[in-house]
Amino acid sequence: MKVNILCFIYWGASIMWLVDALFEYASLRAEIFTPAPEEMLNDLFLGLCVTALGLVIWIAALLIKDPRGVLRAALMKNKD
Amino acid sequence: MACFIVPAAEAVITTIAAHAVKNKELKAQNGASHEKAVSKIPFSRKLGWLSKMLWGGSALLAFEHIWHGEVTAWFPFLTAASDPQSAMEMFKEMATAGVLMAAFVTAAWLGMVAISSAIEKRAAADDTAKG
Repeated sequence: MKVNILCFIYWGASIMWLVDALFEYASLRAEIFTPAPEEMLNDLFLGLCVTALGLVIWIAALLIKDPRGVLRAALMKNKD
Repeated sequence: MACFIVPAAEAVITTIAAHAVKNKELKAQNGASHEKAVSKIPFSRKLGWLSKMLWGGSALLAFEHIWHGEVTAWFPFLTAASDPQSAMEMFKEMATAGVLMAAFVTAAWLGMVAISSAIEKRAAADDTAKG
């Protein structure tokens, strides 16, 4: 399984989110550790959607690159 | 606000650089021995790691900005760009958070390159010891 693209996507996003959190901590201090329940729920849905989007990007990249030529072979088979 | 634009801009530069380096390597490979080319990861591939991290991170962060209503589908696309005061705030955030995001990702990539280079050197040393 070719998961390197997915690893790079999540790794890059995680680092960027970390920097974002550091800046938020610098402005709000300890307040960021006690979010309101609605905020937590919103962040949970956001996290799930971002994870799903990462998977969608990965699948799209795999379909375009087709590293093992599976898709191309299937399309050629249908043509014949 | 728009901090993802800075890593995205770096991603564009690294993607172009990776393509240019790849073309250069392909030209150089014609004269080099095949064995040498196989034992070392090409620099263009290493640059590709950085591009993927920057593109992926920027795309997911852009989605987060859409989620929070900071990016719109209509002009000027960024809600902060609608008035001068929030635009200044946006530029300040790009110069601080955006630049630091790009720097952190690049630092992580440099660490990856350093580790892979050390592994390559060890593998080359093992090969020469074996004869």
